[in-house]
Amino acid sequence: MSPAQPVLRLEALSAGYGGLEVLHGVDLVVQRNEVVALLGANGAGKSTLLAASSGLLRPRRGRVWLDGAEVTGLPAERLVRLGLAHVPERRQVFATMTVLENLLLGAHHRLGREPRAAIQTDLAAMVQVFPRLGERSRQLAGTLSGGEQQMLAIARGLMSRPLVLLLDEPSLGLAPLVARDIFQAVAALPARGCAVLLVEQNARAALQVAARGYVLELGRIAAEGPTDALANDARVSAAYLGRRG
Amino acid sequence: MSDAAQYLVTGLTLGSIYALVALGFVTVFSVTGVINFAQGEFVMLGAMLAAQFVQVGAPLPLAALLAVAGAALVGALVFEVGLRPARGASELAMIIITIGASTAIRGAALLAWGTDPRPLAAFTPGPPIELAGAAVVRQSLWVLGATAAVLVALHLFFSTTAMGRALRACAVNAVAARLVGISPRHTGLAAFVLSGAVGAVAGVVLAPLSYATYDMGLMLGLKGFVGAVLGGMANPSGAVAGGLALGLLEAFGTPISSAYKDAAAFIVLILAMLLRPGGLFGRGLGRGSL
Repeated sequence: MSPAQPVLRLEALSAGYGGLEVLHGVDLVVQRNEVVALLGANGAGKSTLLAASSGLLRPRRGRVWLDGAEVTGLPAERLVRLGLAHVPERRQVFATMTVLENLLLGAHHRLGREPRAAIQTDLAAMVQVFPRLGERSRQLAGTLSGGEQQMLAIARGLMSRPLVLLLDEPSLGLAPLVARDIFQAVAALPARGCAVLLVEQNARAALQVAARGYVLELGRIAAEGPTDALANDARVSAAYLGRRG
Repeated sequence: MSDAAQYLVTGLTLGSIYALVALGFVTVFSVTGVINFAQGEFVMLGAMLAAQFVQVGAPLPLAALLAVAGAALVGALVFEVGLRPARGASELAMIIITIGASTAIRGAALLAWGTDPRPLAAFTPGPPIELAGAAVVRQSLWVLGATAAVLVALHLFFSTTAMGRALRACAVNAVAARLVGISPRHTGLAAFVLSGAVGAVAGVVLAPLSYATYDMGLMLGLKGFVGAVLGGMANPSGAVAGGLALGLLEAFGTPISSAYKDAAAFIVLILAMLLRPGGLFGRGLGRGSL
């Protein structure tokens, strides 16, 4: 494994639903320990791109590489074992189970393969990152606030010890202050050895957290580059940052 | 008064059997989304296999254990051979497959054992026990005890083991379950094995009360289904309550007309579907529409 090996690489990836192709030959790379933003309007194919990468949706053409190994077509339940965690839109926590159970389920594939102590250590680390989860560990996940559920969804994803986390719209429906906490936690993930591909409507926040970004338009990559260059790109700022000129 | 006590005991005994069958329906439905109409055949297999093993000389505990294991194995086969190759098919197709599996199991039982009813001796011989004016057949106590034991065991399994937690996660949110690495194949298989075993327990304890016959599974399966529907299909405690309620209804309906005993279950089913399609308890799946 060379140090330049990207942790996630999509190669000419196409995917869709039924008769509708949503994603048309997308190339995208996430390097080890970086946050990459994926911007685009509603319906541009951002969530489809994540689903096709994580194995929830079988790609039609193209390839997916995870940490140097081709994983195209593997189902989601296999990919999470190989180091890819997908935190889908609207959190999708296990609503009628406790916070602690949700976190333990995040480590489901590690049970029986790793000593319990390793999982306990990670549980403690999650509570350190998101203290609210520790306070509410016996509470049912469905009774948490939106922000707490988002924290739980991210923490559950991290409990699988991923190399890369695909994060879909984490700030959706959250108050600005809560969203800021979430973005701070995301920005700290590379230091924990976890790269992030961040899909976010709030382009301004996403460009602040990420080092590089891609802009998806109608299922194709329309722009890519370092986030400060993207932020200064006239087209990008007009379409996604609400600036004129 | 003693009549009421008698009906109560009979109703709870019958109801326990229905509750176990209903639990099988709920387990499979919540985890896989499939309504398994072969559920009643697991009860038949439990009864028939136990009677068969005792007949060839096995001690009762061993015969019971083998019967439960046998039905669990058939449950695994129904999933692996019948349903898994059809994954992605419509719910209706899945239901038809389970009806086919049920017919196949019943046919195999007919070939293996014929149409003669098979007896199984009561677990503890002796005259009925007098209790609050009711004559309680000893086997009734075995039925109630076995049901209670299964409920406790299932509760412990679902709340304390990693596999139980994974099955619940699958029932709560199947997509999120895949995303944490829970394989729908493993949970589907586990659900069918579990429902096979639970159904067979009902069959083993029921056999001494009502001979084992190759076709006993059909009616028991439908009764259990009514219990599950009453409970809201995806609600285990609801299913147990639904099964017990149906047993009590049948028992207390006996003086009105025992000939229409079986009809009562279906009248209840139709009423439940029309009036409370989400089950009697709490929020269910919502009102159906055409």
